[in-house]
Amino acid sequence: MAKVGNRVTSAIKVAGLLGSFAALLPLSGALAAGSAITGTITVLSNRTDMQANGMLAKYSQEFEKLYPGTTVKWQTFVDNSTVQAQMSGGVYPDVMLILPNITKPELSTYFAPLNSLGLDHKVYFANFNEYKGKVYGLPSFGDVNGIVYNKAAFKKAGITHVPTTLNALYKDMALLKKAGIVPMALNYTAKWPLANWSNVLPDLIAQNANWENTMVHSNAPFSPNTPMGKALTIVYNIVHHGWAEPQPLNTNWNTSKPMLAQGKFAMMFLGNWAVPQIIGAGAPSKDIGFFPFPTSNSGKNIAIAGPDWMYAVNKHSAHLATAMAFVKWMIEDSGYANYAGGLPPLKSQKSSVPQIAQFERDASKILTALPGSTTWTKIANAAQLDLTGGGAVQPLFTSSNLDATLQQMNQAWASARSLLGLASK
Amino acid sequence: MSRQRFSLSYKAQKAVLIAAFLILPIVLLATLSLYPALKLIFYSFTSWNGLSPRYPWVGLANYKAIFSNPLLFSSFGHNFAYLVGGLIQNVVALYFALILNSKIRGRNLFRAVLFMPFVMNAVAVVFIFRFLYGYQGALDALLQGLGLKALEHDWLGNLSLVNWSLAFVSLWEYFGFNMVIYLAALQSVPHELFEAAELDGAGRLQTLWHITLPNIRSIVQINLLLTISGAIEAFNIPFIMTNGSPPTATFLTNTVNVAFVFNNFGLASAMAIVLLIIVFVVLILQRWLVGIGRDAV
Repeated sequence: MAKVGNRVTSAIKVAGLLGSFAALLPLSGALAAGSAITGTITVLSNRTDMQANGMLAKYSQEFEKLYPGTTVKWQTFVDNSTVQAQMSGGVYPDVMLILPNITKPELSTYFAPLNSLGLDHKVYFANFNEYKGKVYGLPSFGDVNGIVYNKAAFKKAGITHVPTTLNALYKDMALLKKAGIVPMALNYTAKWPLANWSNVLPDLIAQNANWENTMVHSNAPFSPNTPMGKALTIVYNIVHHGWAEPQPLNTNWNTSKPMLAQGKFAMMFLGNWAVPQIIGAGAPSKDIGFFPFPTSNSGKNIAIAGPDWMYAVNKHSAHLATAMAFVKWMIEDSGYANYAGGLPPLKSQKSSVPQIAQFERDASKILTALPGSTTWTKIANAAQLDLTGGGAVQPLFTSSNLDATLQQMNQAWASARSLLGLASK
Repeated sequence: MSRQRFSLSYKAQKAVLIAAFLILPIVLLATLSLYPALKLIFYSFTSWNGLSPRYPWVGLANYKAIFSNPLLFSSFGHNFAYLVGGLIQNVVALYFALILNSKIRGRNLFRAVLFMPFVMNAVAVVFIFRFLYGYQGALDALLQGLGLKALEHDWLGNLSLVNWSLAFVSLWEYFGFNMVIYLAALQSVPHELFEAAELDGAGRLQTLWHITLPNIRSIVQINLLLTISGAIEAFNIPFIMTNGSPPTATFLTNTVNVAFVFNNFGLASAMAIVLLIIVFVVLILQRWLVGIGRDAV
């Protein structure tokens, strides 16, 4: 329903944009792509919740007060295929979020370089959307992934410390199950909450932010002894020991949040962004904690910080300067990172979220993520292995033979490599 | 002189009138149906990623990829439940149509009630059933309340059950539509035939078999056509209810995945065209099979 509404509003906005372009045509010319910070801009956002609770409107008001004569409108989306359709139609919001399937060489087709804002050395992850020395994307905030847990549920099961080794994690899950609590909610049906298991955990196990990128050189990156194989084995163990939801194939993301908030579920492997959402679902902040995934039995667990959505500016924008100023303001002054429970994008700032401060103390090291390799994406797409969206983790739930399932993935990967002519390299 | 320009012949007026009435539907048909269809055929020969301004031509490679990947076709097994469900749906629809065609009290109310599911928003229907089938959902609660705890199931998690659970949603939602079509057909059967049969002492079943069914044969044909093509193209129920997860994936949810998850619009377009061809073949087969029976009755 929300999706339909969204489409309708986007359509209306497209019509509105077309109208305003038409109206501006006679006036443009020398004044075009104006250097003055004025006019109406449309900003894309994935936060439908913040549109509903008025936070986005508050950002508009603050920015409009700072730069009189500007108007900031928001376009939110649930499913980015609507935005994709706008982009291929050539009319899209002034301030954009970089969709995951835009490759680096294509950045300049859609976006204006942001180097002139002077932020590229002050923020993290500026290299993620950099091409030929030009920076096209700046981060809204940073994410680290870890286990969000309910402290009251842990206490009820008699667990006093968060697990720091994989064996301790398994032992704690058994204790939680005995106490009648669902140890680890996986959210099979929503699918995307599974993405961390295939897209983040392998790098954490390898203690190497670049490990997944090296999969492109292998014909068998899913074998049980590889970081990917080990990550998927953990999922398989959780499901087959009954440590996931009671009906693991029949789950509901929206009800899983209050369940974790109430302590009926104990843990979920998500990102820092989930902490405020679980608190919002009815848990007192002191009951919700966040710790690094215990990937091995060494007790030293790392985390990898990567960018959440990245801002970009539509290069066809009629108010380029306004759009750029808005991006700069969102990053430097809006306070969005703390509101969203993310890591501040600016290197000079520290998070004000207590759970993140605790997480930073628990992690032995926080590595900075590296941009994903285009070849990796090509192979994964050709193999139809949805590693970034969680779809590739789903077969483990219905598999009765872990080795055979991993072997099938190896085969899909290897044949995709040969299809793309990479096998000999 | 200027008057004469507007005094068209009757024939010309007729042509102008027809053109005026047809222009709107033809423009709509062309922009929303024909143009996308032609584009679809074009995309199916490219490896377009859905966004790029370039459309790399790959010839028949997409079609070869479809037929060399047995996994894509294995999902048709899941459509089997929808097919069986669809056949039952027609029997149920015909049954209710026969009952509601007789002069029973409150038949208009019953007709409206049974047709209601079809009028409801299809997405809302799937959401309703998601709550019914959910863990500790309404269906299990009902069974428990009736003392039938043994019948409780993991409706969406049990691999041998899930597609039947989904097919039931389809049955519930669409049988009212079939019923209305059957009702319309039944009302057009000449009443004298039934009276004559009654006088000759034909029983209810004999009347049904020898008079009702032969008279509504073409309508049965149309309903089967809709049901079978619907079963082959099952999409919205698994897509919304289970997010098209592997045990419930159909050819069409796979197609959507190929386009929007794996960004291969070229391959997805080719899959859509292959599906179209499959539907055509099945429909021709069905017409042929039902046509064979024509001489026997």
